[in-house]
Amino acid sequence: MSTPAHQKTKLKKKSEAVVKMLEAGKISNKQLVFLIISILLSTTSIFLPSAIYQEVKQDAWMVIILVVLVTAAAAFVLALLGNRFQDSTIIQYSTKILGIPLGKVVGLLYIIYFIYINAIIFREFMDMITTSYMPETPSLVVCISLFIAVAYLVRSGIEVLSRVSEITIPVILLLLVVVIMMVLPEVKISNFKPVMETGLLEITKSIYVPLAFFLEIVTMLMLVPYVNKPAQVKRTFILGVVISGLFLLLIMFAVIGVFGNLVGSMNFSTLRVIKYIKLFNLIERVEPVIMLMWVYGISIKIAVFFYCSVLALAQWLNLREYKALVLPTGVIIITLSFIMWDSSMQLKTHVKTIAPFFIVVEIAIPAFLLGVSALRGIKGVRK
Amino acid sequence: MKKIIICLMLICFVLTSAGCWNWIEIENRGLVGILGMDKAAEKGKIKVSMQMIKPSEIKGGKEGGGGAGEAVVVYTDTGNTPLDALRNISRKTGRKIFLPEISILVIGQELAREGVGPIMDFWRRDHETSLRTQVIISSGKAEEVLNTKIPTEKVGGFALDKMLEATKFHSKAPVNDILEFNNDVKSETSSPATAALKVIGKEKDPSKESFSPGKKIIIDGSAVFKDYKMTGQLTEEESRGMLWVKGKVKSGVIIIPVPGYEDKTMDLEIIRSSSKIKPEIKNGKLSINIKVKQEANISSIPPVDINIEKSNFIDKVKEENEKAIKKEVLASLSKARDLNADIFSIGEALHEKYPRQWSQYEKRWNDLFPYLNVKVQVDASIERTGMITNPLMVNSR
Repeated sequence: MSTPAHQKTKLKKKSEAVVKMLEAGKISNKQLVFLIISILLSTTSIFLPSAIYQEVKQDAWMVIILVVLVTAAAAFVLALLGNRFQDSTIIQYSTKILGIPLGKVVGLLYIIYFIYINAIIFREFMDMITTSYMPETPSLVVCISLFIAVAYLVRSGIEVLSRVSEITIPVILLLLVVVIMMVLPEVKISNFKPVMETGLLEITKSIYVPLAFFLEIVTMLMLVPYVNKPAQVKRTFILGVVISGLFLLLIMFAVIGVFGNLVGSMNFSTLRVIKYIKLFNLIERVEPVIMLMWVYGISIKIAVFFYCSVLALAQWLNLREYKALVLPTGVIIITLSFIMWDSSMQLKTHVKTIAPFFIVVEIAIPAFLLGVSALRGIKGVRK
Repeated sequence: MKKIIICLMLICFVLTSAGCWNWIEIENRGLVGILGMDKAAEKGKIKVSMQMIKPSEIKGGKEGGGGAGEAVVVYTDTGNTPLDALRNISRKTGRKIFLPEISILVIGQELAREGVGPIMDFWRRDHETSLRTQVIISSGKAEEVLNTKIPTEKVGGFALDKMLEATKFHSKAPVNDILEFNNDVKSETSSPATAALKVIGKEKDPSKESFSPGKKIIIDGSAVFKDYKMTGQLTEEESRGMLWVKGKVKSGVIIIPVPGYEDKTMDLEIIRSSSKIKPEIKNGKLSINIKVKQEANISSIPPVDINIEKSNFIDKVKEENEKAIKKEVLASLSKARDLNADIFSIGEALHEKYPRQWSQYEKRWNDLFPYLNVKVQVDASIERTGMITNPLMVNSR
């Protein structure tokens, strides 16, 4: 309110200059890696171990390796597409490639996808908090308090968001390693035997749910234009996928090694394994630490998806500003997260049925766009 | 100005919104040392008893600061399910029971024989309970165990904790927490076996002066379960036999006859042991090889005329040692066959080695297990003879 007049005009000029871009921020490739880790690791680390164990039992860790390999290949394709159009997002170039009507349909599909995923994450987050820590706190209170923080983050722009992730994610990863080290004395190797009991076919069959989670990396196509060195995005994508995969493998190892055949029946096996820590009768109950980091990780993930949905909507509608959309979109997301599923069990089965559709949006459509653009020879501006 | 107001509002918000909905101050929580579960007199009901810790008696730190009264008080109540009974108990205590601190769950034999499924499900499902809680089966009522005073500890739960911890010195009872118990239940073939205890002795007579505690709790072998139902009990010898096969014998004493003087006994101290279960399928026939490895030291020899430096003597001791271990293992094996309970996880070993053939054995395991062809092979070694060599001869001069 007390900004000098010349500064105000400066700000105005700046905002006029970026009308086309909607977002003037710049993020480094390193920050992009952290964003990828936050979206790939924060929900998968809680929900995937049990889900995969139910399918292939003690071979669940192999599924992770397979998924990481497939995702790395998919990330390469996505990066090719991002590289081709270094100045625009998938919402913008889909109209360039497919023409206005079809391109707009594809854009809408992505907006729905971002909002949908966000509703799922919100719901998973609420379920986790309310079942494992605060059973009597109304979900809405958990949800809205998170929403306020995330909305502020989104309104601050991509630069602030990435810097927050750059500060918190390394700490989270470090804590994760420390905590897993503390579980190691409890790991029983016999819980991993016999290896390959279910056979390669079953393992391959069961990858599609975890794959749908991992291919969420498609979100990064919204952020490619804001990266410092878009030409190196291939490396960045694959690095993010591999690091997240390694950490997930570590978690999987701890969970299966400690709980053995009970993993399949657990809701939050990762939390449970950390509750099980007891070192020298001294270090016990470290789960608040892990909870803290997950709240951070999930907040960043929600913020990324939230930001992408708002930005995509603004670009789709050719708006000059995305900030005005934050509140209405947030209300839609929260409402959806409440009305779409009656119980946490329903959410689980729903995620399983919807996963193939996600995979289509996540990799089939970008691959199609890449193919068509190559055939028609359409290219964005190279930086 | 506006910013300051917003900041103040935020600070107020943070201060007023601390904690969750079901937040209870620590002094209002019901801290419990041990929890006991019994079959209630009414049909289908569960009787819960617990030793609640009196905070005023525990605090104070130094001797005398805690007051002269008892540190714990035992409450009981009944309910249709474990949680129902736990909530009913609040009618008497006025506090909500704080489950995470419970380290030991004592289950009365009557209830255990009827099935502990509901208790185990509750324990795994609830967000407060710990998978580390240890399960003990009382051969009498669990309530009686909780009512027995253990003079060395103020809180009975701590004493039982130490008793379980001390099983590693004699290896005559298994120690299983909720996690291991349920792992065995979930496995299609294994049967859980967990520590058992009983109350012995009579109430102390106040008119006679004595340092003896009167009623005592004693760890007594193990209770064997088939799925969630208790089906039998192992003696201490059989329990150690089972622990040999599982490779869980950490220490203990083995009594053997002195070579050459069969009427006298000497003893050995177990230093470490390990084991391997090797299933083998040959020409469609299944046989199980159990290999137990053990290291022991000589801990006492009666005063007889022997020279232990002759290698021949140590060899004979080794032989007797192996015989003694084999006897224990075979005792547990025959009991397990009687109960048709795979307490050794032989089925899981077979599953590990022959995953392809496993499916044809898995379903028939109940019919197969009692008639399995099991070979026991013990490989013992006598490492050291203690601080002295030969025993002092009484009339050797």
